[in-house]
Amino acid sequence: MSEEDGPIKSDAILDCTGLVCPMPILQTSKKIAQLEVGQVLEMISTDPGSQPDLQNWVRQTRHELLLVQSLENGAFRFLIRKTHP
Amino acid sequence: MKEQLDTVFRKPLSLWSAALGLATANILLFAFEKPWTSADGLRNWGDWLLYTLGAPTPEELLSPLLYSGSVLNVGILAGALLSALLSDQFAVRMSTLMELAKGTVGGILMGLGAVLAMGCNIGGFVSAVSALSAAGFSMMLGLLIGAYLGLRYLVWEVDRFSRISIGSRMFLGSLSFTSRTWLVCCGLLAAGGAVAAYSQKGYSQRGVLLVFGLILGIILQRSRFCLVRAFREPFLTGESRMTQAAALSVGVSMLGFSILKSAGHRSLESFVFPAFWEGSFLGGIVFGIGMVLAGGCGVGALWRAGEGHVKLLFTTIAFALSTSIFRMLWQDSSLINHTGSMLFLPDRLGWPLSLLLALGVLLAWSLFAVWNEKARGFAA
Repeated sequence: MSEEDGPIKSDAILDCTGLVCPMPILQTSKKIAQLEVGQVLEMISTDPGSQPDLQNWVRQTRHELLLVQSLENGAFRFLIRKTHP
Repeated sequence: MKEQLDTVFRKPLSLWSAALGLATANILLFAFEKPWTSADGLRNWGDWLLYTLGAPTPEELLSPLLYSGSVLNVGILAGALLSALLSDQFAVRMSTLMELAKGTVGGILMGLGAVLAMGCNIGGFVSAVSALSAAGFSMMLGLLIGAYLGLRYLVWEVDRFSRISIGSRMFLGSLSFTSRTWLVCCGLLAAGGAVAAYSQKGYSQRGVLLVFGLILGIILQRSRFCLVRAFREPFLTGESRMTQAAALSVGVSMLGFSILKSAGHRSLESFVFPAFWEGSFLGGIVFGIGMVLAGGCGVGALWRAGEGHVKLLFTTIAFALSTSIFRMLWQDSSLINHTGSMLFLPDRLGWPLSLLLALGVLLAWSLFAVWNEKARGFAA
Protein backbone atom coordinates (compact mmCIF):
# COMPACT_ATOMS: atom_id res chain seq x y z
CA MET A 1 0.00 0.00 0.00
CA SER A 2 2.27 2.77 -1.14
CA GLU A 3 2.78 5.13 -3.97
CA GLU A 4 6.45 4.23 -4.36
CA ASP A 5 6.06 3.42 -8.03
CA GLY A 6 4.82 6.89 -8.75
CA PRO A 7 1.43 8.33 -7.90
CA ILE A 8 -1.53 6.10 -8.69
CA LYS A 9 -4.00 7.72 -11.04
CA SER A 10 -7.59 7.61 -9.94
CA ASP A 11 -10.41 7.23 -12.44
CA ALA A 12 -13.07 8.78 -10.23
CA ILE A 13 -13.21 10.90 -7.10
CA LEU A 14 -15.79 10.58 -4.34
CA ASP A 15 -16.10 13.34 -1.77
CA CYS A 16 -17.44 12.09 1.59
CA THR A 17 -16.33 15.01 3.77
CA GLY A 18 -18.63 15.58 6.72
CA LEU A 19 -20.41 12.24 6.35
CA VAL A 20 -20.80 9.85 9.27
CA CYS A 21 -20.93 6.07 9.02
CA PRO A 22 -22.42 4.25 7.24
CA MET A 23 -22.81 6.88 4.50
CA PRO A 24 -19.18 6.82 3.20
CA ILE A 25 -19.41 3.02 2.80
CA LEU A 26 -22.76 3.15 1.03
CA GLN A 27 -21.56 5.91 -1.30
CA THR A 28 -18.29 4.06 -2.02
CA SER A 29 -20.18 0.86 -2.70
CA LYS A 30 -22.43 2.63 -5.21
CA LYS A 31 -19.55 4.43 -6.91
CA ILE A 32 -17.46 1.26 -7.24
CA ALA A 33 -20.42 -0.45 -8.90
CA GLN A 34 -20.34 2.21 -11.62
CA LEU A 35 -16.63 1.72 -12.40
CA GLU A 36 -15.00 -0.81 -14.75
CA VAL A 37 -12.90 -3.65 -13.33
CA GLY A 38 -9.33 -2.39 -12.80
CA GLN A 39 -10.30 1.24 -12.36
CA VAL A 40 -9.36 3.13 -9.20
CA LEU A 41 -11.64 5.21 -6.99
CA GLU A 42 -10.28 7.99 -4.82
CA MET A 43 -12.37 8.64 -1.72
CA ILE A 44 -11.94 11.51 0.74
CA SER A 45 -13.61 11.33 4.16
CA THR A 46 -13.38 13.09 7.51
CA ASP A 47 -14.92 10.55 9.90
CA PRO A 48 -12.15 8.71 11.81
CA GLY A 49 -14.50 5.71 11.77
CA SER A 50 -14.42 5.50 7.99
CA GLN A 51 -10.94 3.96 8.05
CA PRO A 52 -11.85 0.73 9.91
CA ASP A 53 -15.18 0.72 8.07
CA LEU A 54 -13.53 0.79 4.67
CA GLN A 55 -11.01 -1.88 5.67
CA ASN A 56 -13.88 -4.16 6.71
CA TRP A 57 -15.71 -3.37 3.51
CA VAL A 58 -12.81 -4.29 1.20
CA ARG A 59 -12.20 -7.47 3.20
CA GLN A 60 -15.79 -8.50 2.60
CA THR A 61 -16.14 -7.30 -0.99
CA ARG A 62 -12.56 -8.32 -1.99
CA HIS A 63 -11.80 -5.06 -3.75
CA GLU A 64 -8.28 -3.77 -3.25
CA LEU A 65 -7.42 -0.96 -0.87
CA LEU A 66 -4.31 0.57 -2.47
CA LEU A 67 -3.76 3.46 -0.12
CA VAL A 68 -4.92 4.85 3.21
CA GLN A 69 -3.54 8.31 3.86
CA SER A 70 -4.06 10.85 6.63
CA LEU A 71 -4.03 14.27 5.04
CA GLU A 72 -2.46 17.36 6.59
CA ASN A 73 -5.84 18.93 7.33
CA GLY A 74 -7.03 15.86 9.27
CA ALA A 75 -9.07 14.29 6.47
CA PHE A 76 -8.48 10.79 5.08
CA ARG A 77 -7.75 9.73 1.53
CA PHE A 78 -8.34 6.23 0.20
CA LEU A 79 -7.55 4.62 -3.15
CA ILE A 80 -9.63 1.55 -3.98
CA ARG A 81 -9.20 -0.62 -7.06
CA LYS A 82 -12.22 -2.47 -8.37
CA THR A 83 -11.08 -6.09 -8.75
CA HIS A 84 -14.19 -7.86 -9.99
CA PRO A 85 -17.64 -7.00 -11.36
CA MET B 1 7.16 15.56 22.91
CA LYS B 2 4.50 15.83 20.22
CA GLU B 3 5.52 12.51 18.67
CA GLN B 4 5.49 10.68 22.02
CA LEU B 5 2.09 12.04 22.99
CA ASP B 6 0.65 11.20 19.59
CA THR B 7 1.86 7.60 19.73
CA VAL B 8 0.34 7.12 23.17
CA PHE B 9 -2.99 8.78 22.47
CA ARG B 10 -3.46 7.95 18.82
CA LYS B 11 -3.25 4.22 19.33
CA PRO B 12 -6.83 2.97 19.29
CA LEU B 13 -8.14 0.96 22.21
CA SER B 14 -9.12 -2.56 21.20
CA LEU B 15 -12.82 -3.38 21.08
CA TRP B 16 -12.31 -6.20 23.58
CA SER B 17 -10.69 -3.92 26.17
CA ALA B 18 -13.44 -1.39 25.57
CA ALA B 19 -16.12 -4.07 26.00
CA LEU B 20 -14.66 -5.14 29.36
CA GLY B 21 -14.01 -1.54 30.46
CA LEU B 22 -17.58 -0.47 29.69
CA ALA B 23 -19.02 -3.55 31.44
CA THR B 24 -16.88 -2.87 34.52
CA ALA B 25 -17.95 0.77 34.56
CA ASN B 26 -21.60 -0.25 34.27
CA ILE B 27 -21.31 -2.71 37.19
CA LEU B 28 -19.57 -0.07 39.32
CA LEU B 29 -22.25 2.48 38.37
CA PHE B 30 -24.97 0.01 39.50
CA ALA B 31 -23.14 -0.65 42.75
CA PHE B 32 -22.60 3.08 43.24
CA GLU B 33 -26.04 4.43 42.31
CA LYS B 34 -27.85 3.02 39.30
CA PRO B 35 -26.87 1.35 36.01
CA TRP B 36 -25.72 3.26 32.96
CA THR B 37 -28.50 5.09 31.14
CA SER B 38 -28.40 7.76 28.52
CA ALA B 39 -31.96 8.68 27.58
CA ASP B 40 -32.99 9.92 31.03
CA GLY B 41 -30.09 12.36 31.17
CA LEU B 42 -31.00 13.60 27.70
CA ARG B 43 -34.63 13.94 28.79
CA ASN B 44 -33.49 16.12 31.66
CA TRP B 45 -31.75 18.39 29.12
CA GLY B 46 -34.91 18.47 27.00
CA ASP B 47 -37.14 19.26 29.99
CA TRP B 48 -34.79 21.98 31.08
CA LEU B 49 -34.47 23.45 27.58
CA LEU B 50 -38.27 23.54 27.14
CA TYR B 51 -38.65 25.05 30.60
CA THR B 52 -36.16 27.85 29.87
CA LEU B 53 -38.00 28.49 26.61
CA GLY B 54 -41.18 29.06 28.64
CA ALA B 55 -42.91 25.67 28.71
CA PRO B 56 -44.69 24.68 31.95
CA THR B 57 -42.39 23.07 34.52
CA PRO B 58 -42.53 19.31 34.75
CA GLU B 59 -43.29 18.16 38.33
CA GLU B 60 -39.80 17.59 39.64
CA LEU B 61 -37.26 19.30 37.41
CA LEU B 62 -33.72 19.02 38.73
CA SER B 63 -31.05 21.27 37.29
CA PRO B 64 -28.92 19.50 34.65
CA LEU B 65 -25.99 20.24 36.97
CA LEU B 66 -27.53 18.01 39.63
CA TYR B 67 -29.46 15.37 37.68
CA SER B 68 -27.25 12.29 37.78
CA GLY B 69 -28.02 11.07 34.23
CA SER B 70 -27.27 14.54 32.91
CA VAL B 71 -23.95 14.78 34.80
CA LEU B 72 -22.94 11.40 33.39
CA ASN B 73 -23.78 12.56 29.85
CA VAL B 74 -21.85 15.81 30.29
CA GLY B 75 -18.90 13.68 31.37
CA ILE B 76 -19.17 11.48 28.26
CA LEU B 77 -19.34 14.48 25.93
CA ALA B 78 -16.38 16.15 27.66
CA GLY B 79 -14.40 12.92 27.86
CA ALA B 80 -14.83 12.32 24.14
CA LEU B 81 -13.83 15.91 23.38
CA LEU B 82 -10.67 15.64 25.50
CA SER B 83 -9.81 12.28 24.02
CA ALA B 84 -10.37 13.55 20.46
CA LEU B 85 -8.16 16.58 21.18
CA LEU B 86 -5.40 14.39 22.60
CA SER B 87 -5.49 12.06 19.61
CA ASP B 88 -5.76 14.93 17.12
CA GLN B 89 -9.12 13.64 15.91
CA PHE B 90 -11.14 16.66 16.88
CA ALA B 91 -12.46 18.64 13.93
CA VAL B 92 -15.65 20.49 13.15
CA ARG B 93 -17.25 18.16 10.61
CA MET B 94 -20.13 19.93 8.96
CA SER B 95 -22.45 17.93 6.72
CA THR B 96 -25.01 18.90 4.11
CA LEU B 97 -28.34 20.32 5.27
CA MET B 98 -30.10 17.13 4.22
CA GLU B 99 -27.74 15.11 6.40
CA LEU B 100 -28.41 17.45 9.32
CA ALA B 101 -32.13 16.88 8.72
CA LYS B 102 -31.58 13.12 8.76
CA GLY B 103 -29.66 13.43 12.02
CA THR B 104 -32.55 15.43 13.46
CA VAL B 105 -35.17 12.90 12.31
CA GLY B 106 -33.01 10.12 13.75
CA GLY B 107 -32.88 11.96 17.07
CA ILE B 108 -36.66 12.48 17.09
CA LEU B 109 -37.28 8.77 16.38
CA MET B 110 -34.82 7.72 19.09
CA GLY B 111 -36.50 10.08 21.56
CA LEU B 112 -39.88 8.46 20.81
CA GLY B 113 -38.44 4.93 20.89
CA ALA B 114 -36.83 5.58 24.26
CA VAL B 115 -40.19 6.68 25.71
CA LEU B 116 -41.98 3.56 24.39
CA ALA B 117 -39.24 1.21 25.60
CA MET B 118 -38.65 3.16 28.85
CA GLY B 119 -34.98 3.54 28.01
CA CYS B 120 -32.62 3.92 25.07
CA ASN B 121 -30.39 1.13 23.86
CA ILE B 122 -28.23 1.62 26.95
CA GLY B 123 -30.90 1.79 29.69
CA GLY B 124 -33.51 -0.24 27.81
CA PHE B 125 -31.24 -2.84 26.26
CA VAL B 126 -27.69 -3.06 27.72
CA SER B 127 -28.61 -2.34 31.34
CA ALA B 128 -32.05 -4.01 31.14
CA VAL B 129 -30.63 -7.25 29.72
CA SER B 130 -27.88 -7.11 32.33
CA ALA B 131 -30.60 -6.74 34.96
CA LEU B 132 -32.34 -9.82 33.48
CA SER B 133 -35.45 -7.84 32.57
CA ALA B 134 -37.43 -9.54 29.83
CA ALA B 135 -38.08 -6.12 28.29
CA GLY B 136 -34.38 -5.84 27.48
CA PHE B 137 -34.64 -8.87 25.21
CA SER B 138 -37.75 -7.69 23.40
CA MET B 139 -36.05 -4.34 22.84
CA MET B 140 -33.02 -6.18 21.44
CA LEU B 141 -35.26 -7.92 18.89
CA GLY B 142 -36.87 -4.58 18.03
CA LEU B 143 -33.46 -2.92 17.63
CA LEU B 144 -32.35 -5.67 15.23
CA ILE B 145 -35.45 -5.20 13.08
CA GLY B 146 -35.17 -1.40 13.27
CA ALA B 147 -31.49 -1.40 12.33
CA TYR B 148 -32.26 -3.62 9.33
CA LEU B 149 -35.13 -1.38 8.18
CA GLY B 150 -33.09 1.77 8.68
CA LEU B 151 -30.23 0.36 6.66
CA ARG B 152 -32.55 -0.73 3.82
CA TYR B 153 -33.83 2.84 3.72
CA LEU B 154 -30.27 4.24 3.54
CA VAL B 155 -29.32 1.82 0.75
CA TRP B 156 -32.42 2.89 -1.19
CA GLU B 157 -31.70 6.56 -0.52
CA VAL B 158 -28.10 6.35 -1.77
CA ASP B 159 -29.30 4.44 -4.80
CA ARG B 160 -32.07 6.85 -5.75
CA PHE B 161 -31.06 10.16 -4.19
CA SER B 162 -27.32 9.93 -3.75
CA ARG B 163 -27.06 13.72 -3.64
CA ILE B 164 -28.56 13.77 -0.14
CA SER B 165 -25.34 12.41 1.32
CA ILE B 166 -22.65 14.11 -0.72
CA GLY B 167 -19.53 15.65 0.75
CA SER B 168 -20.02 19.07 2.29
CA ARG B 169 -16.43 20.31 1.86
CA MET B 170 -17.05 22.21 5.10
CA PHE B 171 -14.45 20.80 7.40
CA LEU B 172 -12.41 22.62 9.98
CA GLY B 173 -9.68 20.21 10.88
CA SER B 174 -6.43 19.78 12.69
CA LEU B 175 -5.80 22.22 15.47
CA SER B 176 -2.15 22.94 16.17
CA PHE B 177 -0.39 20.90 18.81
CA THR B 178 -0.03 23.92 21.08
CA SER B 179 -3.70 24.87 20.97
CA ARG B 180 -4.74 21.26 21.54
CA THR B 181 -2.47 21.05 24.58
CA TRP B 182 -3.87 24.28 25.99
CA LEU B 183 -7.45 23.14 25.44
CA VAL B 184 -6.80 19.77 27.12
CA CYS B 185 -5.16 21.48 30.12
CA CYS B 186 -8.08 23.90 30.45
CA GLY B 187 -10.52 20.99 30.13
CA LEU B 188 -8.79 18.98 32.84
CA LEU B 189 -8.69 22.02 35.13
CA ALA B 190 -12.38 22.64 34.52
CA ALA B 191 -13.22 18.99 35.27
CA GLY B 192 -11.14 19.09 38.46
CA GLY B 193 -12.78 22.35 39.45
CA ALA B 194 -16.24 20.89 38.87
CA VAL B 195 -15.49 17.81 40.99
CA ALA B 196 -14.14 20.06 43.78
CA ALA B 197 -17.18 22.35 43.57
CA TYR B 198 -19.57 19.37 43.79
CA SER B 199 -17.91 18.01 46.92
CA GLN B 200 -17.79 21.45 48.53
CA LYS B 201 -21.53 21.91 47.99
CA GLY B 202 -22.26 18.48 49.42
CA TYR B 203 -22.86 16.73 46.09
CA SER B 204 -19.68 14.68 45.92
CA GLN B 205 -21.71 11.83 44.39
CA ARG B 206 -22.29 13.97 41.29
CA GLY B 207 -18.58 14.61 41.06
CA VAL B 208 -17.96 10.86 40.99
CA LEU B 209 -20.53 10.49 38.21
CA LEU B 210 -18.78 13.19 36.21
CA VAL B 211 -15.54 11.22 36.46
CA PHE B 212 -17.39 8.03 35.44
CA GLY B 213 -18.71 9.93 32.41
CA LEU B 214 -15.25 11.20 31.46
CA ILE B 215 -13.88 7.64 31.58
CA LEU B 216 -16.78 6.29 29.51
CA GLY B 217 -16.30 9.09 26.95
CA ILE B 218 -12.58 8.38 26.63
CA ILE B 219 -13.14 4.60 26.27
CA LEU B 220 -15.84 5.15 23.63
CA GLN B 221 -13.84 7.64 21.58
CA ARG B 222 -10.58 5.68 21.68
CA SER B 223 -12.21 2.37 20.75
CA ARG B 224 -15.11 3.63 18.60
CA PHE B 225 -17.20 1.04 20.42
CA CYS B 226 -20.63 1.49 18.87
CA LEU B 227 -23.87 -0.38 19.42
CA VAL B 228 -25.31 0.89 16.14
CA ARG B 229 -22.46 -0.92 14.43
CA ALA B 230 -23.13 -4.05 16.49
CA PHE B 231 -26.72 -4.14 15.22
CA ARG B 232 -26.18 -2.77 11.72
CA GLU B 233 -22.87 -4.19 10.52
CA PRO B 234 -24.03 -7.79 9.98
CA PHE B 235 -26.47 -6.38 7.42
CA LEU B 236 -23.89 -4.06 5.83
CA THR B 237 -20.25 -5.18 5.57
CA GLY B 238 -20.86 -8.37 7.52
CA GLU B 239 -18.08 -7.50 9.98
CA SER B 240 -18.79 -9.37 13.22
CA ARG B 241 -16.21 -8.11 15.74
CA MET B 242 -18.36 -5.26 17.02
CA THR B 243 -21.32 -7.58 17.55
CA GLN B 244 -19.11 -10.03 19.45
CA ALA B 245 -17.64 -7.24 21.57
CA ALA B 246 -21.12 -5.90 22.39
CA ALA B 247 -22.36 -9.36 23.37
CA LEU B 248 -19.28 -9.86 25.54
CA SER B 249 -19.78 -6.50 27.24
CA VAL B 250 -23.45 -7.16 28.02
CA GLY B 251 -22.66 -10.70 29.19
CA VAL B 252 -20.02 -9.49 31.63
CA SER B 253 -22.16 -6.73 33.07
CA MET B 254 -25.02 -9.23 33.38
CA LEU B 255 -22.88 -11.42 35.64
CA GLY B 256 -21.92 -8.39 37.75
CA PHE B 257 -25.53 -7.18 37.98
CA SER B 258 -26.68 -10.67 38.96
CA ILE B 259 -24.17 -10.84 41.78
CA LEU B 260 -25.25 -7.42 43.06
CA LYS B 261 -28.92 -8.43 42.89
CA SER B 262 -28.75 -11.99 44.21
CA ALA B 263 -26.49 -10.97 47.09
CA GLY B 264 -29.10 -8.41 48.10
CA HIS B 265 -26.98 -5.31 47.45
CA ARG B 266 -29.54 -4.09 44.95
CA SER B 267 -33.27 -4.71 44.69
CA LEU B 268 -34.30 -7.52 42.37
CA GLU B 269 -36.75 -5.25 40.52
CA SER B 270 -34.09 -2.66 39.76
CA PHE B 271 -34.13 -1.85 36.03
CA VAL B 272 -37.02 -4.19 35.35
CA PHE B 273 -39.52 -1.93 33.60
CA PRO B 274 -43.16 -2.61 32.70
CA ALA B 275 -42.40 -2.66 28.98
CA PHE B 276 -42.49 -6.37 28.19
CA TRP B 277 -43.11 -6.80 25.42
CA GLU B 278 -45.16 -4.29 23.44
CA GLY B 279 -43.45 -1.08 24.53
CA SER B 280 -39.90 -2.36 24.38
CA PHE B 281 -40.40 -4.21 21.07
CA LEU B 282 -42.06 -1.29 19.25
CA GLY B 283 -39.75 1.20 20.93
CA GLY B 284 -36.79 -0.91 19.83
CA ILE B 285 -37.92 -0.82 16.20
CA VAL B 286 -38.46 2.96 16.20
CA PHE B 287 -35.19 3.53 18.07
CA GLY B 288 -33.33 1.17 15.74
CA ILE B 289 -34.45 3.03 12.63
CA GLY B 290 -33.53 6.34 14.26
CA MET B 291 -30.05 5.30 15.34
CA VAL B 292 -29.14 4.07 11.85
CA LEU B 293 -30.42 7.27 10.22
CA ALA B 294 -28.45 9.37 12.68
CA GLY B 295 -25.32 7.19 12.61
CA GLY B 296 -25.18 6.89 16.39
CA CYS B 297 -27.43 5.97 19.32
CA GLY B 298 -27.99 8.32 22.28
CA VAL B 299 -24.51 7.77 23.67
CA GLY B 300 -22.99 7.40 20.20
CA ALA B 301 -24.41 10.79 19.24
CA LEU B 302 -22.98 12.31 22.44
CA TRP B 303 -19.41 11.13 21.99
CA ARG B 304 -19.38 11.85 18.26
CA ALA B 305 -20.72 15.34 18.96
CA GLY B 306 -17.78 15.71 21.36
CA GLU B 307 -15.49 14.72 18.49
CA GLY B 308 -16.95 17.50 16.36
CA HIS B 309 -19.61 15.87 14.15
CA VAL B 310 -22.23 18.58 13.67
CA LYS B 311 -24.84 16.07 12.44
CA LEU B 312 -24.65 14.18 15.74
CA LEU B 313 -24.92 17.42 17.70
CA PHE B 314 -28.25 18.00 15.95
CA THR B 315 -29.21 14.41 16.79
CA THR B 316 -28.42 14.94 20.48
CA ILE B 317 -30.53 18.09 20.71
CA ALA B 318 -33.41 16.52 18.75
CA PHE B 319 -33.26 13.39 20.94
CA ALA B 320 -33.39 15.48 24.14
CA LEU B 321 -36.34 17.60 23.02
CA SER B 322 -38.26 14.73 21.43
CA THR B 323 -37.93 12.38 24.38
CA SER B 324 -38.99 15.16 26.74
CA ILE B 325 -42.07 16.11 24.67
CA PHE B 326 -43.16 12.52 23.91
CA ARG B 327 -42.76 11.60 27.57
CA MET B 328 -45.12 14.42 28.59
CA LEU B 329 -47.68 13.47 25.93
CA TRP B 330 -47.34 9.82 26.91
CA GLN B 331 -47.91 10.43 30.59
CA ASP B 332 -51.08 12.40 29.83
CA SER B 333 -52.49 9.66 27.61
CA SER B 334 -53.88 6.31 28.71
CA LEU B 335 -51.41 4.56 26.40
CA ILE B 336 -48.87 4.51 29.20
CA ASN B 337 -50.77 1.58 30.73
CA HIS B 338 -50.38 -0.49 27.57
CA THR B 339 -46.63 -0.77 27.16
CA GLY B 340 -46.55 -4.21 28.76
CA SER B 341 -45.69 -5.86 32.05
CA MET B 342 -42.72 -6.14 34.36
CA LEU B 343 -40.94 -9.44 34.06
CA PHE B 344 -37.81 -10.25 36.02
CA LEU B 345 -36.65 -13.49 34.43
CA PRO B 346 -35.46 -15.25 37.64
CA ASP B 347 -38.98 -14.76 39.11
CA ARG B 348 -40.34 -16.99 36.36
CA LEU B 349 -37.43 -19.30 35.57
CA GLY B 350 -35.14 -19.22 38.58
CA TRP B 351 -31.58 -17.90 38.53
CA PRO B 352 -29.65 -20.72 36.77
CA LEU B 353 -32.05 -21.08 33.86
CA SER B 354 -32.40 -17.29 33.45
CA LEU B 355 -28.66 -16.76 33.27
CA LEU B 356 -28.25 -19.68 30.91
CA LEU B 357 -31.00 -18.41 28.64
CA ALA B 358 -29.73 -14.81 28.69
CA LEU B 359 -26.13 -15.79 27.98
CA GLY B 360 -27.47 -18.15 25.30
CA VAL B 361 -29.23 -15.28 23.54
CA LEU B 362 -26.03 -13.20 23.56
CA LEU B 363 -24.00 -16.17 22.32
CA ALA B 364 -26.52 -16.83 19.55
CA TRP B 365 -26.32 -13.16 18.51
CA SER B 366 -22.54 -13.25 18.17
CA LEU B 367 -22.54 -16.69 16.51
CA PHE B 368 -25.07 -15.40 13.99
CA ALA B 369 -22.74 -12.49 13.25
CA VAL B 370 -19.71 -14.78 12.85
CA TRP B 371 -21.60 -17.20 10.62
CA ASN B 372 -22.95 -14.32 8.59
CA GLU B 373 -19.45 -12.87 8.14
CA LYS B 374 -18.24 -16.19 6.69
CA ALA B 375 -21.30 -17.03 4.65
CA ARG B 376 -22.04 -13.39 3.80
CA GLY B 377 -25.65 -14.34 4.25
CA PHE B 378 -27.06 -10.91 4.98
CA ALA B 379 -24.30 -8.51 4.03
CA ALA B 380 -25.40 -5.87 1.56
